[in-house]
Amino acid sequence: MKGRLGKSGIVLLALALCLSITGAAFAHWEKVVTIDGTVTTGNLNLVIISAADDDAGIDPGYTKDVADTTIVIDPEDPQRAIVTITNAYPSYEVYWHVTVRNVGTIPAALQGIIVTAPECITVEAWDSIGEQIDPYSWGSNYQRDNSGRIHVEQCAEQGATYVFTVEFVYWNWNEV
Amino acid sequence: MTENRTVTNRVWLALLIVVLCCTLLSGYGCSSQAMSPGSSIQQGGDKDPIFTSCSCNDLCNDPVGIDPGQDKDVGCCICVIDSTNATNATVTISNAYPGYECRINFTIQNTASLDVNITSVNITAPPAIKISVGPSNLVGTTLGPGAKTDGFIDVHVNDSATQSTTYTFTVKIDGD
Repeated sequence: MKGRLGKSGIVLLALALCLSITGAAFAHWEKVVTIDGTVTTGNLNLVIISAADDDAGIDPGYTKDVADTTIVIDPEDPQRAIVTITNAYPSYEVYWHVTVRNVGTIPAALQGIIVTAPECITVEAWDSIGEQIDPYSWGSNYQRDNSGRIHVEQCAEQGATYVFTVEFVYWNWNEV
Repeated sequence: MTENRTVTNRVWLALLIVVLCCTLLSGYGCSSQAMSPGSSIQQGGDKDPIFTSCSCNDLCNDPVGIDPGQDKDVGCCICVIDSTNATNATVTISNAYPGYECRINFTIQNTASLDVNITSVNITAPPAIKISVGPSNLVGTTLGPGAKTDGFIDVHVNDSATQSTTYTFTVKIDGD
């Protein structure tokens, strides 16, 4: 019994070897040319490098220094500015100015501006949708100023401090 | 009785060795028929078709290399034939972005003394990268000894591509 198994094993082993060698021989007929490719994507990265408003004392359009507005770059998201308005009153208005720089490697275009202001605060942004900014490394056209107007409406509450954000949404320039 | 069994085992082993030798010789014989007499191709490395040219339509370091279909020079592409193994070429695309596309043109030459039939094109690429190979009649083309054929690979970066990411793809052109 042991001898038979040994013979069978030898025969099976021989068959397996023959098949593998024959297969290898036929495989040598195949001819392949290969192109290996890598695609490395760039990055789209824009940051606000400065934010300011024009209420540095006397309220714009008035003769007294009553309300105050501050606009700062969000430390957690430099694509967003945080606006804080205190001691405001109906018809108070102020202009804001934000400079955005493209610090990525892909040209960008402004796709939209998202403002989270409450109902009684009207925020207007000058129509800069679609404006392009090239990467800073290109050496020109790498930043852009955006401005807008904030107006306090009649429905504003007394004694309230209004805080909201202005966010700039940029896409790669070829898809805006 | 024991002596008979030993003799039988020896016969089996001898038969096995003969079969193995015949198969090996047969395998090498088949393979050598496919090679050109003057080629320096080694057994198991049948490299009859080779790349003789490979280029991209969006060159790197080109001062006026506007990306194909776009209006800015952002991404770029290079194709290099392996200097030690012309059956391989390498494509490197840099600073790509969703919507980026380029074309790699290549030429394959049959350096053998027998015909080569292009039987299939196998593409491996992630979903973020769309690869297409042409012309449509590339598969089915028969290259006689010394004959050349041109082909191209179109690369398109899909919207699902993420920033600062490296994707790899492979195009294998099979022949027999």
